[in-house]
Amino acid sequence: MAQVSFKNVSKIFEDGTLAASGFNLEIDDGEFVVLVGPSGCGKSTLLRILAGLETATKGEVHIGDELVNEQTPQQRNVAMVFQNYALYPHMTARRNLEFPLKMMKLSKVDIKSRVEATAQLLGLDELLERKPKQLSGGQRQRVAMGRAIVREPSVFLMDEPLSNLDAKLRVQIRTEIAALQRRMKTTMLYVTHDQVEAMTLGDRVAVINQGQLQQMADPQVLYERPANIFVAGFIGNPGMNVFETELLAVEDQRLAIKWGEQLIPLAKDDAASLALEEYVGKPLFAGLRPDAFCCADTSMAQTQVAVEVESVEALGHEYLLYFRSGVTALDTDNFAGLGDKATRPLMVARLPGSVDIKTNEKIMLGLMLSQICFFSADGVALRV
Amino acid sequence: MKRRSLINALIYASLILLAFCFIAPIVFMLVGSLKPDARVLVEAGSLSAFLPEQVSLQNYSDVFARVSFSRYLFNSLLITGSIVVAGLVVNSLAGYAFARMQWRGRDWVFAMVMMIMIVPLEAIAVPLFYEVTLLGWRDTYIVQIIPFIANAFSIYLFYTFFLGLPRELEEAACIDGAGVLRTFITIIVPNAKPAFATVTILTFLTQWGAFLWPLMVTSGEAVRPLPLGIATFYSLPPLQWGDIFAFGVMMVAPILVVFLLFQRWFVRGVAATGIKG
Repeated sequence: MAQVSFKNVSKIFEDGTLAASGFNLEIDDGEFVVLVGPSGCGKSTLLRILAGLETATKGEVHIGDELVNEQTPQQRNVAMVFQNYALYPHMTARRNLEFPLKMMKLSKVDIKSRVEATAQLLGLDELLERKPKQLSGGQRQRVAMGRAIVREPSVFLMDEPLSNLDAKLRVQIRTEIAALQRRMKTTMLYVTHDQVEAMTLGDRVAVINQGQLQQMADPQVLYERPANIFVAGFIGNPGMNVFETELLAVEDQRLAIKWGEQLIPLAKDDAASLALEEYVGKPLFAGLRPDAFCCADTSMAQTQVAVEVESVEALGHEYLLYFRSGVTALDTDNFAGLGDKATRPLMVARLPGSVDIKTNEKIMLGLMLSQICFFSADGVALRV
Repeated sequence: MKRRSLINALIYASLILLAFCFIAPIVFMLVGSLKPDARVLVEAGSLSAFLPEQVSLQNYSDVFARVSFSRYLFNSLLITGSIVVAGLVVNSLAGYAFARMQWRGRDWVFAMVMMIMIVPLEAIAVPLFYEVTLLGWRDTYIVQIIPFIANAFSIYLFYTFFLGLPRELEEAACIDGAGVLRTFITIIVPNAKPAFATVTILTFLTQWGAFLWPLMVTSGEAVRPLPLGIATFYSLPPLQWGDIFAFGVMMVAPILVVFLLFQRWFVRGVAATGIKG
């Protein structure tokens, strides 16, 4: 077990691609951290830098107390599970598990006992004499995890290990990985672009975009208090509706935001806690999760807005309501600052499956203003 | 419908004729080797050329009586076998170094190797002859082996195959603690059987039939291979075609054995099992 830290790590490939830029991350001993971000954001490169498969152009990587920049993968004592498993096709599952132990020059007795203990832990006993082509996707995945576990490494690295599995198996293996990590208490770094995996697995989740750490926090904090517009849009499915607005002072020393032509007053306490006074009269961004909308007639609704329903996705227990309203949602993936014209065509609300709403209907939606987030002109949250 | 059948019949007839053109010389040689020598040329212009009436192995025993066939066979097996085995080691390592390793000047060296591929032996035979004479290698086995171990085409075949192998296999081995050479031997080679089989067959075919170079650098039958052995019949009167055919059949047989041994990997694709879910 070991702590892991990235200190000001940058990676520029030979073709000039910037994969990481001034990346900093501290992972505690035994912690399960998930790196999440869109495709091409640099998360796998960071994992490979930690594994020793890539070298950092700049910065320091530490495992435990050691600076490992110059160490070989073996010297780092890390184990990695690859997206495509990378099992050795010509070897049986047993020989796949034995391979790293043979490289460590362990005795035959030790190798045998470790392989059998790992096989038992992962339920591979019956599959040890099979070659990878004779195993199902889930079984291959387990053998790949076994090959990592059997070495008893100080850090586990997992690079999108579930992406080749079907949805049902993914949920099952996800649970198994979480249970395994809790049992072994080994530091684990897990890369995924699937935010459900990120939110369900990680003690903490690091959101990365364009090679930079956007926010590192536990899943609930990421969801409720995103550090910036990118995190707001990336975390949550669907992501947060972020729109440009203006803060105005209204009567009774209260503040209000503009929702098209409508003024929506904020509760005094909320406005105070957000320290919004200095932004009065200035443009800024506001964000509402799809869950911050509710039926207009419920007690949760602190105010109402008129919307025109564009489409309805019935998911059984809930509806996703895509609508047009007085404001236009921002394209959070490509946020480029105030006045940004990259917009999503529709806003989205999540409502319980019991309501009856039709496409093209004009309705009133309730807003739970306590869940509103504010972002400055450059996209940074006003309270994190 | 009728017209369609007619077209099909014509296509098949053309294909059969074409196939016959390729197979006929081999059948002619095989059948001729089993006939009394006097009948080989007499029946050459008729259908009997392909139908032996009196089967005899006399020509085969004549071959052993007239020339030292077993010596030529041993020489060919030794020379070709050495080139194939050493070539597999050298060319696969070179292909791997070009495909996977980063080193200064790699692309330039690779471009030069590829250029060598288009230079025929005939073009460099004289300077090469001069070189091996200076080294005192004439009339030896090594003069027939060393110049043909490194082969640009084999390197290219290995190079393209290794490029197609999933890089994760090597990365997994690297993380598991294997060095470059061990990764190559324990992970890459077992998964590159199709490439090794292809190079084995192609090298064997080329070297088994080598004639010009052995003729230039050898003078006695002690180190000469089969193709030079068959040529000795032309200088041993009377010219007996039955013997030549029997020699030819025995010369082709090892090629068939090599092909049959390696053909199941010959066209097999990348062994990517265990890589994709």
